[in-house]
Amino acid sequence: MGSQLPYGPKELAAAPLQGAAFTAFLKREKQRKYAEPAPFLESLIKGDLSMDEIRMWVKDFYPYWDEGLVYATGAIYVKTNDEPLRTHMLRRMVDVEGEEIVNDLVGWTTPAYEELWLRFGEGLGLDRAEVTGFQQFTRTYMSMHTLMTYSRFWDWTWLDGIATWYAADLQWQEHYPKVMKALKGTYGVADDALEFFRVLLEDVESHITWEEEGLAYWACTTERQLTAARAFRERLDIEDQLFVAVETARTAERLPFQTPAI
Amino acid sequence: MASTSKDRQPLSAGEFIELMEQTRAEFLEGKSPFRGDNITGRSVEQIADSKRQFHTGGDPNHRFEGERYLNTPDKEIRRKQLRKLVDEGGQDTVGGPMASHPALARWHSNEFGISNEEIDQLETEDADPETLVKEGWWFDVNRSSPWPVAIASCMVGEGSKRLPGSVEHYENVIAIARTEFAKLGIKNVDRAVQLLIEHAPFGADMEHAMFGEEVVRVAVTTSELQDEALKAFILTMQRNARGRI
Repeated sequence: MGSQLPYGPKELAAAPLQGAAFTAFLKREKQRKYAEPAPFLESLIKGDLSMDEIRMWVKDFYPYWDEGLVYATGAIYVKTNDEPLRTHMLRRMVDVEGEEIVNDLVGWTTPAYEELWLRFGEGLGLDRAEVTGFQQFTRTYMSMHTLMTYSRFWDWTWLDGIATWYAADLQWQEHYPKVMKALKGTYGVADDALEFFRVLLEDVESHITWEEEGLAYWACTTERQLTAARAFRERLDIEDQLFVAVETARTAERLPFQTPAI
Repeated sequence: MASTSKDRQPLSAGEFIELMEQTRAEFLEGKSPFRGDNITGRSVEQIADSKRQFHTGGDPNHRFEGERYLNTPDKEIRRKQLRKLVDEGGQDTVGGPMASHPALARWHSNEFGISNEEIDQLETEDADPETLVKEGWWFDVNRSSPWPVAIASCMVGEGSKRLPGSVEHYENVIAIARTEFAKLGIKNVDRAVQLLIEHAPFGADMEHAMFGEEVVRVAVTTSELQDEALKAFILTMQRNARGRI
């Protein structure tokens, strides 16, 4: 819950939806608010971007994979007292930070999302230093920090947090296969540079079922459903906002603000 | 005018660790720094009651360990803390051999006649008031302290496993527990002692202890951090001591 008035007796008097109906409702909410990808992604998928514009996206998004998602994921984990769900969350933290963390246990070698993203950038001809040294667009930075602070503090409960993961997963699952296809087919990006997308999409596939099950079981009251649905929509908004600055940067006369190099 | 920590030069890592151990020894007044002094002389019912008390109000492990993870901006250290979270939150999460510490605590309780349904119920109940404030402080110190201080606070519990005699002590405790539990008629002694084994210096805890020491060495390097880490160290020992706070 952000700055809204709390739900009152009138809203809370309604009976909760059954579990499956609730997750179906969330999917409808996604279609209602964001039936299409963000304009930047849509242009990418259509093949309308220049390579420099794609490189700009890579640079602007690096902190999201390196810091924003890492922190937001851990922040929800810390709040979650149901062990079966928490176990799935821990697995996801390993996905984000790199499965190679448990190499000693199970021999896995997949690196962190941020490392895969850097390799994607290298596949586009970027030096790592160009990516890691970029002053993020302020709109992207603020979007990312909204995700981090809402995940961390009282704005989102642990269950709201799961709804937000579900929102992002639905978005990624819908859009990133098309993005990957366009990068390879239209823009000629080498297959091995696209490992990030394959890993992310495999991970999404492994998490979306338990997210749905968790939401169906634990969002068992009207209030929980109302707040989880709001958090779900907020995450959709955040994911969309993350693309506003890169779209502005390529379409407006002047670059949008960037974070200060302090 | 008393000097502040800012005025003083920090101790070297070795000197600071020595100060921690000296502080521990003084605090303990000759008592053992190791756990396991209550393995013998209790009935099944007494052990089950203490386990019920343990489960009441839920398991805190992910909260303080998660806070340490979340607060650490140093990527290498943070990922080591995540590796620790996997040990404690369940190696089986990633296909490894060992269940989570909360699951192992349930194994122990199950063997003493407490069902998972009863544990679920206990975990929804209000925490004991003393536990509430002791754990509340513990979450706060791990949430609000600088990250080197938060991770260094593991030097009390896990850090004690680095001390001389630790391996022999815990080998002995586990051997005694096996004998005692068998005498009490526990059906699956292996399951009942697995939590003890995980917390022994030949389980995951030794690596965690060495990680804690590594963080003290590389990151608790200013006089302010050393003061704060020492305060947290003392308060953690006070929290762990029975009947004094």
